[in-house]
Amino acid sequence: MNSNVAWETDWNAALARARGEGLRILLSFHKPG
Amino acid sequence: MDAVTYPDPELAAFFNREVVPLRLAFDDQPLAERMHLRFTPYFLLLDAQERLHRRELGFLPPGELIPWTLLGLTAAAMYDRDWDQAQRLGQRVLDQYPSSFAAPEAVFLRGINRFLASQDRRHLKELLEVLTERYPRSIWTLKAQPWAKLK
Repeated sequence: MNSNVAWETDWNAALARARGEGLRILLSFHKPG
Repeated sequence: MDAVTYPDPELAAFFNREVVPLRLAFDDQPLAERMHLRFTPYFLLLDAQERLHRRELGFLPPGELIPWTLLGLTAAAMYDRDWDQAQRLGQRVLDQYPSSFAAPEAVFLRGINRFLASQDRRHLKELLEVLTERYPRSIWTLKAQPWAKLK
């Protein structure tokens, strides 16, 4: 993946981070390849 | 998105600082179905309680995805009735991305937030005036037309 974004790849981990850090979630769905 | 948008350093810094960036495959079930996915790329701005505040279908370059995300954060602040924060976020779209497709909506939301914070209907008429001057062909200018009758 050509990206400098520190992506979460797990829904529950993202939710936990959002709750812990007071942030919103930017969810990007993609098609591999 | 992987060729143009996500390698962009400004976009990466913005995402890493201001949201939890979450990347899932199109067939990640049951989430894909729960989020009404039918095509990619597909973006959603959600809060920690899983409430949806904005979604978009189709490619966006960095100069559009950043202000699009700022508008999503604006919508989430409005949901929380945090008018000051909503105004700050919307203003960033206008200061940093005034030529983006998100800018007319930012003018619209800024006026709405000023109205909600003050209950002063002059803000609604003012937002129509700004939109008419800067973005006469925007759908947000059309949406503000009813306020032309305000005194």
